[in-house]
Amino acid sequence: MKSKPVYNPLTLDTSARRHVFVAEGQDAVAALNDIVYAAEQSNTANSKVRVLVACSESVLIDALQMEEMDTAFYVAGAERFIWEVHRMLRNAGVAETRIQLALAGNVARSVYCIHCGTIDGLVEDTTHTCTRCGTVLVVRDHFSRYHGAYMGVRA
Amino acid sequence: MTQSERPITLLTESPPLVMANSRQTIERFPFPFTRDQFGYSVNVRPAAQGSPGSFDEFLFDIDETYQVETAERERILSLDHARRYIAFPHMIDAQWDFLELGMTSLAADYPQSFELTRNGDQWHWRNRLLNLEHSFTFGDATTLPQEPLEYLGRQMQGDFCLLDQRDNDLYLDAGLVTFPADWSLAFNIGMTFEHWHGPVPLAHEAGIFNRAKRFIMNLQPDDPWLRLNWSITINRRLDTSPEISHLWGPDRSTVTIKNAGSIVHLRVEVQTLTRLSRSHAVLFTIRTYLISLDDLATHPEWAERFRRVLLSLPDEIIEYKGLTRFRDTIINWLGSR
Amino acid sequence: MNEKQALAVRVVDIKTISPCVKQFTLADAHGAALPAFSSGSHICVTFGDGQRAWRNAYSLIGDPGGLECYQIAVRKGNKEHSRGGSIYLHEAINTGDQLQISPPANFFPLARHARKHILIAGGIGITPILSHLAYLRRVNASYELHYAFRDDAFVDAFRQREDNHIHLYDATAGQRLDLTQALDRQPLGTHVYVCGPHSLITATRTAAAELGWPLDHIHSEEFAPLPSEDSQPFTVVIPSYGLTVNVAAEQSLLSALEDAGVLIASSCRAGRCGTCRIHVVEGSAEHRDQFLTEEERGMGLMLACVSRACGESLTVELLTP
Repeated sequence: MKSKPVYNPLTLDTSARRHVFVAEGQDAVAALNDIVYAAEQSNTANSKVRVLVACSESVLIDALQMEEMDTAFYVAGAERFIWEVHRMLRNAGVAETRIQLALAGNVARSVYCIHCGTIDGLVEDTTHTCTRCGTVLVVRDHFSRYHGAYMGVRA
Repeated sequence: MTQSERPITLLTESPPLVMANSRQTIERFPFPFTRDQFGYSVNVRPAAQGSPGSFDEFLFDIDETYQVETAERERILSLDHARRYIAFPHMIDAQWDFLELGMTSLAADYPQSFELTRNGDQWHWRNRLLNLEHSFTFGDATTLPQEPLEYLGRQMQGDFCLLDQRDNDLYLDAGLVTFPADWSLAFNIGMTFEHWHGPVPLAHEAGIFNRAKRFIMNLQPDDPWLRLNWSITINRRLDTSPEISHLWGPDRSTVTIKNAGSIVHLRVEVQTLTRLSRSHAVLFTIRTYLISLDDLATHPEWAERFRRVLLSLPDEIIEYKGLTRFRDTIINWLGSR
Repeated sequence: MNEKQALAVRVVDIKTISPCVKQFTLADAHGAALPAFSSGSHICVTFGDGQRAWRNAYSLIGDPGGLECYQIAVRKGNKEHSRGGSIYLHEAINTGDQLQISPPANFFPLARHARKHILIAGGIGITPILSHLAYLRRVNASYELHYAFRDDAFVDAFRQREDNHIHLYDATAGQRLDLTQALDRQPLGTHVYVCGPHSLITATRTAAAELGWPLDHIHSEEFAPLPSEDSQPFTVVIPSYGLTVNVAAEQSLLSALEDAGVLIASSCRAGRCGTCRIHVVEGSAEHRDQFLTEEERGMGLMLACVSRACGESLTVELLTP
């Protein structure tokens, strides 16, 4: 499914001079350890590393105001979180090629009920009963980055 | 919109439309098959080049079902507006481009039905079919009762999507979609071209969408293109959105060899792609035509070709187009003509 | 140019902007409104003197908001290197004369979602930049403009209007544009648009890369001559079919192959969708499509519906479906 996200292993973006890491929580911090270390050790001139952990949306927005065109971003956390941050980064003008995402922590999926528009989080099965309208849904692989959720349609 | 504001579907009924095809409508039906076999391609050709009276004579086709379709659109929008009309704020310039293109085209192509007078940015629009007229300032959304895309889209046949071209991709960033063939504007909003086509089987591997995207991104103004897409709808339904699949889905189990002629409809989408002038966005229109098998079979060569195409379909396509339950019945029906 | 699309315009004003540059104002010949356009667009102007015919592309320099007329700026070419069109426009066209133009097309649009726009112009490359500037000023967007010039076209207009976002570099006075300085320390969401000589475009990309920019934020337009509409006959050899086919001057390679029984899938037949791509095994293709990337052309691909041979012969193979 072309829309289903594929999460490649994080690699340090050597075309950038600054690296900002955004972690949802401690699980995500662990997932980012290696690459943060690589960034700190990299010897590109003016290289700078910044790590944001479990920060509020307003803190992230303020941080983005300070960043410049030479920055690469790495985001780790649950699927819905990382795509929310992805959307904020894109709205702030970050190029798609400058954002890398990693799943960490709870890997269960969010499901968008096509019938009532509700998004339920932490769905582990491929079927799910919508918590709002009660429809039994099949969870498809068709994913929306905007909603941060997979499409659920009546079985 | 927050989750708590999202409406539960308020469409508790969606009756099939009462509209019969006249002889003329059958003759001008956009029969999509040029070969006896199914095959994917980027099958585009210039739009608005058809002979007089044909479905593609003009960029926007108005036909005898105009009143029924516009009324049905109004009904759907009154019940489920938030999911059938969505437009991100940055698309407002593209909306005005659409309004200009739509109004100038309709007034030029159907002068007995539509009239547009322009005095600088003071415009006056008259729609004799819906018996309305409106004076407004082009570019000033406060002078229209709805946003431009919705205002004019409510007076036209077809679904309208505005694609933002940025960052080397195409984004579905606005749409008025009341008659989809089983896809959701509300779910797909904001997706890129290849992602919203994600569920289509086989075509991605063949490179179809990569080439189609590049074709679209190279479009220039005043040069619209057209392609045809097809599926099957049971009963005369235009709104086959996934949101209300509980209302139309069960129809699929009701097809018999006796009723197939009247309830099975070939559904053809005439899709046009047009580069818009000021915003550089792309207008993607989906104009849907339905024909019952009975009407289709008045052309024996259409019935036979359709039968052969159905026989040639790969399993993934049968599944994707939702034909599993009744494909054999239709093939038998067509073969018995 | 598609005959149905051509617009007839009348020259309503000619202004000398600098020793080498003239500005032409064009209005619809029948007094109608001209099509709206997006900044960065160009038109193709067709004209001739009865013996020679030219088709040249010129950027629209005005604010896209105004539709009564189009404005283009033409730099007079050097007699030795130019094909003569711009010279003819300068010397032989007068107010009141009619020209044929294509509707506007745009391969250099603004990234309208950008937080900030940096415009870089070298010489006559200022022309599309002028319309971007007019639009950005009108919508109060954040911008910087860097204009490196030898000929001082439009410089007075810049100097007259106080705008500390405009930076001028007069090469005759030894002033040089420092691209590193122009691009350093820019906020997220900045996009760069550069138009001018190839060397300026390359230097901009290099400076940006060294500063750590993602290159998809650098947009460029290079003025290159439009592909010639003159076509020569050639032969095409298809070894796998054991065929040698003659392609007449007025015939496309695609239709010549079809006539010879070689069936290639096709769709738009206008060089835009890639369906009819074939592989060049020997010989050199003259590419006239708007679809293939440089890399794909380098790999030997060509589109049969519009492209031709550079020389007298081509050897091709069909791609396996």
